[in-house]
Amino acid sequence: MSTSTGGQRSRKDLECTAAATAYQRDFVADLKRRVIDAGEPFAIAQADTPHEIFHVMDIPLVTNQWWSAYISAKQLSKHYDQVLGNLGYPANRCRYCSLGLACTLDNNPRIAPWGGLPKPTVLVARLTCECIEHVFGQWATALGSEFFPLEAPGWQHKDPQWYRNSNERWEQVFEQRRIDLLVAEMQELISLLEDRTGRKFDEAKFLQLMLDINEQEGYIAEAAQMIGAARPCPVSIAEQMPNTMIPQWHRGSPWAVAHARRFRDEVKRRIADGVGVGGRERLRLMWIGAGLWHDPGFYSALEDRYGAVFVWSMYMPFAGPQYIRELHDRPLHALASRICSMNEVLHLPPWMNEWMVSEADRCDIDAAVMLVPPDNRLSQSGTKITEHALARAGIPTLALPADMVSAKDWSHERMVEHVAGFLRQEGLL
Amino acid sequence: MSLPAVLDRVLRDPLHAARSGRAIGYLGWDVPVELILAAGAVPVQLSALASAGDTALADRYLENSFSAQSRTVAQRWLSGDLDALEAVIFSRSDDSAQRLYYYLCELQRFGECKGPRPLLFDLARIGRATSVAHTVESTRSLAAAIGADAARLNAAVQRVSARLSLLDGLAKLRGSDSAPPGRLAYRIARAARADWSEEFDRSLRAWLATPMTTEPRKRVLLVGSVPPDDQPHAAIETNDVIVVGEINEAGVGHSGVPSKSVGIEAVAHRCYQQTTAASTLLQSPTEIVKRARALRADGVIVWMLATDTGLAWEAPRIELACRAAQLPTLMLTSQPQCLSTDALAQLAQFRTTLEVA
Repeated sequence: MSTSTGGQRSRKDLECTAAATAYQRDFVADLKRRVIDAGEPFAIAQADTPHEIFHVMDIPLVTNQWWSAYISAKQLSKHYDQVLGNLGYPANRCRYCSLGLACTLDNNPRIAPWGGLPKPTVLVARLTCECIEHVFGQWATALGSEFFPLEAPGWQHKDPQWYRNSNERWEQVFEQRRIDLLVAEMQELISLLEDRTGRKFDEAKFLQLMLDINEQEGYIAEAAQMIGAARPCPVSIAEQMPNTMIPQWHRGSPWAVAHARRFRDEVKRRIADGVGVGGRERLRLMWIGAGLWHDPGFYSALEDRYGAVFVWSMYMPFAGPQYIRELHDRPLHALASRICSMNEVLHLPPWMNEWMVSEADRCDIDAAVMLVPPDNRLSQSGTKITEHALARAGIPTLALPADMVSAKDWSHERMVEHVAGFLRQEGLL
Repeated sequence: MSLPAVLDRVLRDPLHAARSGRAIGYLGWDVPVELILAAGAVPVQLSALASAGDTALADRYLENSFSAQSRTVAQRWLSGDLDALEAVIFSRSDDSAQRLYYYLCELQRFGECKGPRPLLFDLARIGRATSVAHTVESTRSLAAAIGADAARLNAAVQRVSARLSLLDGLAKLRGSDSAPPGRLAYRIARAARADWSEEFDRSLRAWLATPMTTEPRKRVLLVGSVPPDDQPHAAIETNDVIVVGEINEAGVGHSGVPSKSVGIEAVAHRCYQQTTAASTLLQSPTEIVKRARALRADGVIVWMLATDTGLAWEAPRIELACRAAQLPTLMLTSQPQCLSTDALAQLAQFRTTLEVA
C-alpha cells in the first residue's frame, strides 16, 4: 500500500535564501507572463542541456526538472502519477522526468500549474537514459511540437581526477570527439531556433555570457570550499541548494552573478561569526542524489534533533569542476565540454565515485545518505560502486529507496528515524 | 550435424567455441560481428548465456534496474567464467550493457576482478548526419581496438550477409500458411546470434529446404522485450497457437540485409540502420499493426520486462493502436524474467479469447 506522510518545510537562516526565492518567484511570474500571456516562443529542455544558447537568444526556457519540482511543490505529483497509471503506463516508469508529460497528457487546465504549458518551439534532451527519448518524443507529439535530441556518446578516456583537470584541460578530460559532436549538434539547434523564432545567436553576447558564468561559478566554488573547511558548517544543504540552483537556472545573468557574490560573502560572514547550522554539530553528513523536493524539512529534522548536519550535496560543489571553463578562444567547444558529461560524472564510475570520495575527504564527512529512486535506472546508476568506494575510504553509506519528486511510500518521521538508526548502528550517534 | 543438434550444442554452452581459440564476446544487438570475424576471432554473443541462478557477486555492484542479461554477464565475469575471452564489446545502444562497461572497467582498475578487456561500441542513434558520422568513426575505432584485418573484412561482411539472408528466409517461412513452431524459430534466431560457424549456416540451409511446419490455428505476434529464452513462446504455443513473429530490439535486422558494399563504413551503416530501425518500429504503433496484419496475426501479445524501462513508455500507445485495429491484445508489462503464475494464467485466458474471436 502506498503511503505518504508529511513533507515538511526546511528552516531558512540566510538573507540570501530569501532574496533568491523572491527573485525566482518574480522570474516565474515573468516566465508565465511571457510563455502563457504573451505567447512568446519558448523551449522545454532537460537540465543537462546547453541553456546558454537559449539565454543568449533570449528564448524563455522551461527546464523539465524545475517544472517537475514545481509540480511536486504544488502537491500534484501523486495526481499525475495516477494520470499516467490510468493511461496504461506500466508501474516501472520513472517519475522525475515524466511529471511534465503527465501534466500535458492530463490536459486539465483547472489542475495544471499555469493551466498547463502551451506548444513550445522545441523540446531538447540528451539521451542519457533509455526513457528520455520516449518521454520527450511523446511529450513533443502531445504538444504538437518537435523533439531535438542530443546524443550522449560513450566516454572512453577515464580520468579519475577529472574534477581537478576539467577547468583547463577539458579537451582531454571530456574527449575531443565527444565535444565536437555536441558542437555540431548545438550548431544545428541554433539554426533551428533562429529559423523558428527569428531571434539571432549573437556570438559576442555568448562570449560575454560564458565569461560571466565563469565569474558566477567561481563565487559558488569559493563558497563551497569555505563551507567544506568550516567548523561548524555555516549553511545547510537546504540553503545551499536554492542559492546555487536558482542562480544556476539564470547562469551568467547580472542577477545570478551578483547573487553568487552576495552568497559567497554571506557564507564568509557566517564563518567569521562562528554561526553553525542548527544548534550543535555532532556529525557531518553527505547527501548523494537529487534534492528531496517533496520533503525539504527532512534535512533540518536530522540537524535539529541529532546535530547530524548535511554539509554536502552535489549542487554547490559541482559548480567549480563542471561549470568553470577556460575558453581557449573556443567558447562553443568550452560550452560543449560543460554539457557533454554533466550527467555522466554524477552517475558513472570512475567519475562519480572518485569525486564523491574526494569531496567526502575535503569536507571531513562522517557518513553519507544516498537517494536511490526505485524505478529510475539513471538515478540509481553508480550508487553501489560509490558506496563501496566510500566504504574503502571509511565512510559508511545508507541507501534510501525513495523518489525525489514522488512522496509515494514516504514518511517524514519514519525516514528521519531510519537515518538516525543507521547513524546509531554505525556508532556515530 | 542436424540443426536441432547444433541448436542444442550452441544454446547449452555458448562459450564452447571460445575455449578453443581466440574469441571476443559482445553484449548488445547491434555490435558489428563483421569486425570480430575480420579480426580472426570467434564472436560470442553473451546474451545467449543462461541466466545464472546465483547472482550474489553481481549484486554487490549492480543496482536492481540492470537487465537480467547484464547481471548474468557480470556474475559470470566476476566468477572468472569469461576469462577465455580476449575482449568483450558492449554496445552503447543498450543502456544496461553500456553502464556495465563502465562498472567493469572500474572494478578492474581497483583489482576487484580480472577477465577480458572491456570495449565500448559507441553507436549513435539519432536520425542525423552527425550521428551517422560519429558511428562510422566509432566503428573505425573498434576495428582498430580489436585488430580487424582490412583484408579479411570483405569475407566477414559476406558471412554476416549470408547469415542474415538465411534468417530472412526463416522470417518469410514463419509468415507463410504453414509455419514452424515459434519456439523453434526463436531458438534458431538465438543460436544464430551465438554461433557464427559455417556449419551452422549449412545446418540451417538444409533445414530450411525441408522445414518442419504446421498450419497454425491461431497466429500470434509477440511484441516488446527480447525474450532471454523460449519460455514465453512455449507458454503461448499450445493447441496449434503459433508465434509467427517477434518485434523487439533484436529481431528487426532480418529484413535489413546489407548492401554488397564493403569496408568499415558499410558495416557502420548496417549497425546504425539496425538500431534506428528497431527503435523506430517499437515507437510506431501503426507500423506494429501493419506488421501484425502482414503476418496475418490473430492476436498480439505485448510482453515487457520490468527492467526495460524505456520500452515501458510505448506500452499504452501499442495497446491503443492494436485495440483500435480490433486485434485481440494481451498486455503483460513490468514482467519478471521468469513467467509468473499470473502471466501463465493470462496467456491461457488469452488463447481462449483467440478461439472465440
